[in-house]
Amino acid sequence: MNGWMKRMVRRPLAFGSLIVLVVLYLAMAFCEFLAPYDPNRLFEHYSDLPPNLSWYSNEMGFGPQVQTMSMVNDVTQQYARVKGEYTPVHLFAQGQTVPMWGLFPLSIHLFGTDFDRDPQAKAQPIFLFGTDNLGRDVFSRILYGSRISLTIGFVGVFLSLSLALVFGGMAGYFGGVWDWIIMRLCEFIILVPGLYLILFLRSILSDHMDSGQSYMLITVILSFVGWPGTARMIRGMVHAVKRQDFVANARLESMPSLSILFRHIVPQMSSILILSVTLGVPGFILGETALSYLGLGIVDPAVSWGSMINRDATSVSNLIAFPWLFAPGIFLVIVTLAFNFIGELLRDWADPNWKEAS
Amino acid sequence: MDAPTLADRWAKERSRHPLVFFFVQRIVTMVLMLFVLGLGVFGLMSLAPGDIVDNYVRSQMLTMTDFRSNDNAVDPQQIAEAKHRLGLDRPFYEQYFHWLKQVFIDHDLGRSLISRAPVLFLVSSRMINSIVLNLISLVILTVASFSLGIWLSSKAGTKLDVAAAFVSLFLNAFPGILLLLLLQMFAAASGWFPVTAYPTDNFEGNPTGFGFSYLYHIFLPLLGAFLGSLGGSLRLIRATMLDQLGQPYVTALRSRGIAEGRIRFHHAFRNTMNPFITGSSNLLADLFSGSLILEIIFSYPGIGRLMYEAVLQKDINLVMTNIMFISALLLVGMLLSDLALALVDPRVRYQKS
Repeated sequence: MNGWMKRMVRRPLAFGSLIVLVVLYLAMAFCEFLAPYDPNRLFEHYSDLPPNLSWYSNEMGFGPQVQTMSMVNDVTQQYARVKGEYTPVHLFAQGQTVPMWGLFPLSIHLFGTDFDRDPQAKAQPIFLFGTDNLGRDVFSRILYGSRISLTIGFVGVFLSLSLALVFGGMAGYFGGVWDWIIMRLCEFIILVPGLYLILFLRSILSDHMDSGQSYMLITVILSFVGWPGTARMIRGMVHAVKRQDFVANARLESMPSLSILFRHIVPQMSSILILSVTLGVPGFILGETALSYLGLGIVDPAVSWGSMINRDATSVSNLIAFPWLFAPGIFLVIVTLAFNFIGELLRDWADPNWKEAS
Repeated sequence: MDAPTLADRWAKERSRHPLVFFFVQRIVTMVLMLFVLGLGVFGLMSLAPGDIVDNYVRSQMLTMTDFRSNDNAVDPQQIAEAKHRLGLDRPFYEQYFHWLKQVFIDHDLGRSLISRAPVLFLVSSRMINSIVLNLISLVILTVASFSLGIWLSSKAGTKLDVAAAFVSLFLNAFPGILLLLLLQMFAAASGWFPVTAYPTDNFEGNPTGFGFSYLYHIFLPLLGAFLGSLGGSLRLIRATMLDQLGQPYVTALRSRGIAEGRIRFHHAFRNTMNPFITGSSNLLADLFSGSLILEIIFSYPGIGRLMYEAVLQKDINLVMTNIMFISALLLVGMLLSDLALALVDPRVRYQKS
């Protein structure tokens, strides 16, 4: 095992977080296969259905199975279990055909019931986390929604960190007029109340966009608001590093200053940069959630965790009657906590004064 | 020989009063920045498709029950007139200069374009609500996080410290929106707390009753805001405190037999103030700007929601007043925190290095 793996195992919390994140990102990559249904498929007679997977019944013994539920009150959307009617759940079940990565059709899913194969029979569809008020499967929507929610953090951090590195690095290295101009620009962007800038840009550009465009727009806006703080930090560090001898040597060898900056000075800060990526990702994820919460983020038919929370989990009556609609919130908590635990570990490693606890 | 002597005197004065020159320079930059910011706001507003009159007309058309297309319900001439009256047909920089003249020469912030109420009245009545809420939250947060942080730093290495570090990391990482939503769900499910954050009683009739009712209503939102920010500040205080306690001067003080409590409060604690003063530059602006998400979830009538609606409806007078006010406060806060830093920390001096 590598050195860092050994050190990682010694910190169970961070190690567990890493495993959770790897699992979630793998699930995101293969969500067509893992999700039993298309995220926008409407099950007309199953709206607001509670999670219906059970593991034991007298009729079928142990094993994953779905008990039939029938609606008893169509005003409050209440269901009752039907006695003795069970549908078995299969692994690698034949189900709805969806395009896998948009490349080839896929009709085998990790788990499912015979619902799609014989609509005449009494087979019930499986809803691991229940359905929303249009009868869409919450579990499938969470998996497809992670395509947006889990990637927006890395794309956003990449954008804002690139901006911060270029501007902060130049301000710190060249100093003088460059420093003055860039720092005033940073202060100016910090000066504009961030949320209102977002509101502005979003309301200007929001008319009739498809999901891909609004995804990019949200990322760009969030990183545009976020880079000045990091740029100031990087400027300070470049200031400190550029007085060291190896920079003077490189300059004496008449290296171009941009390559001194990015080949010699920036790598010195790599641990801090990795740290700021790890801590920046959950920030972007929560930023998307906040925007979606305000109705300015991802909207139907595209799906993200933020838009699911906005749609289903914001009214108190909804949450009390249908608590499973809070599931995307739980995923959100898990992801932000996991990133923070890993960030905590990296911070400890990056801190030269920190000694590993025995 | 006039010019060089002037330049000399300038340099001489500058070296004699570095702090004054530093701040004058900062203030001039500030005013310029605010000017550009206002221009930017008007520019962005004019870039946005549709203006306030279009929005109004559209909403009227949507509410009309028996709308037929050949009804001349919306007179283009009337629309043009309304736009002309509000000055919306002019380029944005002219609108901006008109606004500047209105504010600085006529001393009038104008009226909200939607509700026709004076902007000053709208903003001040909402802002008081936000300030009260933020002030209570700030005081509680500061007192709690400083006392807890200093106390925990004396327990460093114990099990309690490990548990506290975990809890504060957890609180720091927990999504704020979800925390507020969960608290509201708790209020609704248990029935012990109201789900909205503002009492319905009248203040004039019964001030004491209003006060208690107010505290009762804001308890949960305050708890949410408190828990959300406690984690971060607790971690920061604990870390800086431990950093200071590991410095050689603390060992020197200890070797001279100074009491541990005195070392903590009179020496280490004073040195932990620096990062907080730098970090508190946006404190002033935060006090006045309200928190949008909290106000929306708990339907609290604060400035954040007013602004949110104003931006969406393109109510330019309201937006300008608030953004300029908050930005000015932010700049003043930055300036004050620099000044406070120079007063507290004798090592910080504003000279040309």
